[in-house]
Amino acid sequence: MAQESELAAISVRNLSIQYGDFAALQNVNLDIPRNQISALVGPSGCGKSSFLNSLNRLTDLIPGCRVKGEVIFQTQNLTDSKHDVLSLRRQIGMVFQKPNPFPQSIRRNFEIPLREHGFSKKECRDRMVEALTQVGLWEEVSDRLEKGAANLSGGQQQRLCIARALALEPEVILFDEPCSALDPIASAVVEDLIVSLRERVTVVIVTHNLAQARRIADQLSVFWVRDGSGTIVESGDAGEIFQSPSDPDALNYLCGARG
Amino acid sequence: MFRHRNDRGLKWLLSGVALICGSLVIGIVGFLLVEAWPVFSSGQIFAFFSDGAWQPGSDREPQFGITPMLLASLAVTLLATALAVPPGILAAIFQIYYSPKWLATFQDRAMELLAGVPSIIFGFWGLTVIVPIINQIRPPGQSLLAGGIVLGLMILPTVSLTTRAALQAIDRSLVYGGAALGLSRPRQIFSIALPAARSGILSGCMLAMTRAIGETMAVVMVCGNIAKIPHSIFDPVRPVTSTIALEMGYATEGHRSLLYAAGFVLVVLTGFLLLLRRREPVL
Repeated sequence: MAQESELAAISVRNLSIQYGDFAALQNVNLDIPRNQISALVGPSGCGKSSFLNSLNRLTDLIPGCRVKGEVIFQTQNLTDSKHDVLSLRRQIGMVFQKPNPFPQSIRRNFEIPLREHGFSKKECRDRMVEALTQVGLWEEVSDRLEKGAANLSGGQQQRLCIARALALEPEVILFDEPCSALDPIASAVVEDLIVSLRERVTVVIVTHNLAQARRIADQLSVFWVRDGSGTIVESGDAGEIFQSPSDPDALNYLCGARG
Repeated sequence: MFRHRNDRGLKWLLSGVALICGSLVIGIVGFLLVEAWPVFSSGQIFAFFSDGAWQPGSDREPQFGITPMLLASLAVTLLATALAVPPGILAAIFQIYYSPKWLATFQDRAMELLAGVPSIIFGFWGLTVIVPIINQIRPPGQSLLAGGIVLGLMILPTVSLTTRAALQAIDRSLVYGGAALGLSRPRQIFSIALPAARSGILSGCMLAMTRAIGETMAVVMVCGNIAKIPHSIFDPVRPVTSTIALEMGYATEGHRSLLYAAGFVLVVLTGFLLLLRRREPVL
């Protein structure tokens, strides 16, 4: 167990999340292994997104939301209110369901976060070019960096958002259903991109697309509602779980019978 | 599309109401033009901008220059805008990003109340509070500055309420996106939220300016009403609106047409201000 924790990029212990009186998530334990893709699946409303948001403290933005338990990242507990949230979010990036480039030029989309974290104009440009190249967008946008990011297609916008997160060179990137607002072709491009990121970063992805989870996940966690709150009912190697889930709800869900 | 009878009926009703509202504007401008027609047909309109002084009632040598008054209107409006826009925007930012909920609600009510205070009250307050203070710095007190301060206070709620609405209307996903990149709150506000809300904020400022340029009662009371081109903000001025209000009561035929023409010029000026509100290119 101790050895496992050392390999883990993030270790979650006894995590509970409450919105007012409602317990969205109870007693979640999970080790997220380094440089692998961990997929979180399960029906809507069982706390997957809440769990994801707690990993980079975006739960702070939700009024009335309380997080209990431990999230260990680089030997420090993130749920500690004194933890430096801004540098944490630089190390644990996030990509959302709906592409959300800032409604400004493509270049500004990189400059705003990079300048904020202390990079020079020159470094901003280098990192922007590198990140855009990584997501395969450089060829497509290199001649219109000063144009608005909103003019890009949905798939391009989502790749821009991934590049924007990558430019900060994070350890972990959290994906909250990154393909569900995209058409099938754009979705496939983004999915391939996520797979290619595995060498560089640790990926945690929430997805409702079980076929996608089967294709890309190394680790799988199935969330389910128990006693009125979300929790993880099954977790481990993705191949094994897809083959023979031990939890009956997980079995039904993964076979497409329920949820 | 309009297959159902009640839907078709509603369409006609709404079209009718919209038509009436739209044609009211045309009707009012048309009325101004008809009343001011003698000024245009006699060529007096050119004297508006070429004569140095405003003495329309003089028997010997009448002069019809409204340039000092137009400049006064513009100067008072610009000063009021310059005074009201920064605090209006900052107050809205505080309200949305930093204020506790009870204080935000209080601020809303206070701004709505401020917007509802009759302009005569603002004028009265300006005359008894602001003017004596300015008088101590540089007499006479009734001045361009007094007008700018009082008007600025009157348009402050317009700026603040429209800015708040524009900031609230920006996509929440931008706020989350900014936070997820580790941006501090000031950076989120000034680099993301304000640019995203820019066109709404600009519209609010233009709305405030058009209100300021058309305001009459308060400026009559605090501006001093001397139709000369001001050389400093402490000089008394007389905006176009004041002139119309002060002289309409006793104006005879030719003079009356002049005042209507001055009003028409003011409407054209407001129209120009609204044209300045160009459509932002979609980024």
